[in-house]
Amino acid sequence: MHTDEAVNASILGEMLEGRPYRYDPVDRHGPSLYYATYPVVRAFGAHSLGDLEAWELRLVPAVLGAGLLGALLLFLPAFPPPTLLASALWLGVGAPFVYYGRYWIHETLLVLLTFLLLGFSWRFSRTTRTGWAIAAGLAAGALLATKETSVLTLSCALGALVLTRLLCRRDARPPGTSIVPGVALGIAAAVLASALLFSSFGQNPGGIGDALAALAYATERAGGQGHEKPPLTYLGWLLAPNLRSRPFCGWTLAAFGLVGAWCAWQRRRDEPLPMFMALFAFITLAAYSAIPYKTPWLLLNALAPWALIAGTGLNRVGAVFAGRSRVVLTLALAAGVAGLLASETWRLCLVFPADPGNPLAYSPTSPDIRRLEARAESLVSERGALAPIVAVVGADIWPLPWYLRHCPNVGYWPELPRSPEATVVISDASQSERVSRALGPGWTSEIFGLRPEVLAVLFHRTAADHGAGKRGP
Amino acid sequence: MTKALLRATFLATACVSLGMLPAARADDLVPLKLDLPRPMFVGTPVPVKLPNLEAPRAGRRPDFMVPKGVVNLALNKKVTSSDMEPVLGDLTLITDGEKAGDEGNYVELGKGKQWVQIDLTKAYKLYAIVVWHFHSQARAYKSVAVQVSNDPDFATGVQTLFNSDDQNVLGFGAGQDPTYIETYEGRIIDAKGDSARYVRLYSAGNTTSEMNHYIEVEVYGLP
Repeated sequence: MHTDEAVNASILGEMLEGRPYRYDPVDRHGPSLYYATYPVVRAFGAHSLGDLEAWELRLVPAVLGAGLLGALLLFLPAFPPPTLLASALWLGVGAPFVYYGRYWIHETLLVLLTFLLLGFSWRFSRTTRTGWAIAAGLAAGALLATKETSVLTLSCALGALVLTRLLCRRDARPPGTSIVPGVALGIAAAVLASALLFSSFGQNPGGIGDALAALAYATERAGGQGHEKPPLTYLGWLLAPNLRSRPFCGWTLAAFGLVGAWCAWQRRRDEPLPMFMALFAFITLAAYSAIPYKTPWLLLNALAPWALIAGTGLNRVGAVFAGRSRVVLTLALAAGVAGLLASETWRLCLVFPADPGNPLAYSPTSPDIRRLEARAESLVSERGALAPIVAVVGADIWPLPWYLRHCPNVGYWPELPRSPEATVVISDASQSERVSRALGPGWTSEIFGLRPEVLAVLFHRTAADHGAGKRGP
Repeated sequence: MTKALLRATFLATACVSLGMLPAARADDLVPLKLDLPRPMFVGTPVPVKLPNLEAPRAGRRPDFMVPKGVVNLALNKKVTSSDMEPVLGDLTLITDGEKAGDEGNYVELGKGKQWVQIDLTKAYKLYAIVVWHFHSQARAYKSVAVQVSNDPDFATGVQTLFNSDDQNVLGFGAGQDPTYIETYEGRIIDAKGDSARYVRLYSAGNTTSEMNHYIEVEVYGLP
């Protein structure tokens, strides 16, 4: 479990234990993911953090990722079925989508809600039916309540819409209809949905104000906060070969996407949606590249709409062939792309998921943490005290709270406490020397990895000293 | 009279207490519930990139004393391994004399327990073995063991010089040597003047990944 997943799980654990959710504008994301997951884990019988299993949590982004493929249908007929099928190759098999499609973080939900918002809005623009407008509004409200970057998503979409209108000069509305009532209803639905979510369904009205305050904090955060990277970082992650694989997803998206963008330009007066999607993807990538704060999962926001353009490009390349062989050769081309994508996905998602050489693994949790988990649990059980205590000391200890969730008495202290007596002490490496001195003789230490470069030291009493009544933390 | 009364009272109290004791054990004990501090939430962790972690030791490494005239006997010698098809690099990197920690200078062996073996071509008196697993990142390797022998199969005449395998993953018995954080200085292992032709080094993953790495191994002895 990545640190972000572990933090999310702790928040959900508090909800399961009966503490009402309260939106925290400082360094936390919105409530949508927790509310989407809560009924799922309750259905599996979870009542606390200790009851949760990783696969139950990760089922949610996996289903949402599959939902992304279903959401493609909203773009029919502007993107015909062969194009949608080709796009589904990248969305369903591409390494970034598979990798983060199993991370229980907010990004997959954010991308799905973006697709729903765009799909419903496009359908509303063609029909002016208020049902589509309300659906789009609800998607926008949920989007806003998912993550602060949704504001950037909406801004990029607006920019792409203005540019599309300028470039295409085409209005798909039925003659004599107005979009004003629908837009008003959509905005009302968006405000209502986001207010309900941020206020914890009325339990925390202050959450609405906090959501507005979060924008200022998110703007400050965009400056980097340790995640600052140069503008071309995303292109590097996407296109540069890495230690573990050739970046087939990035290469094929770039190659077929360029063909698709050219097709979208050519067809812009007949059907503006592909042009909008290409512009939206490009503006999103440019905006995220311009912001110093960069993490690889943010790429999904640009790659998902670009996958539709790449799907267009793949079918256009297939159309070069004439006659009956066209279908066969297009299918062969798609199969070839799928094979390349699958080989990269296999290596990055299954063989080297937490390897420092994997560009998708951003501050991944080290597999060594499972050894720490097993060691702590075995020490606690073999010492046989009535209420053995595990004392975790230090600031950089995540995602330990997830891995120690089954230990009944775990406490987290920024500094080594004088009491209570602990059976096991786990310290972040920066404090280990001080902890070792404070514990005194009779304690054995073992080193474990939490994340690349982040080590933890586990202290336990040597067998001979166990029960000797020595002072603990 | 008073003494008799006190004795009777004491006996009566003791009997009542003893009679109640089993009931107290069964019914009155409950698990101790503790209100321990909860972890503070944090944001996405920033990938840490330390230039090169110094050993947690004040000052320079103490000198390791060896007889005059010792040389690195392992330089360019043949290396074999439990993983003859490394994931990255090749086995010749282990004895090529290059100890830089950057990409292209290390060999990566597969997951879990793995070993590399250096054939010194004949038996020498050995005084020190120095190993660099990987030092461009702060990490510690698990279950590190170093053995020497004149038997290429390490079935007989095996001397264990270092063993940090406290969980006995390797099956040589629980090691007593400490796990250590890798640094650019490498780890000096005392070879104690044992005479041997083959040197074998074990590990079982590290604190960052399950893979095993070697940048260089030097074996110092009298030619």
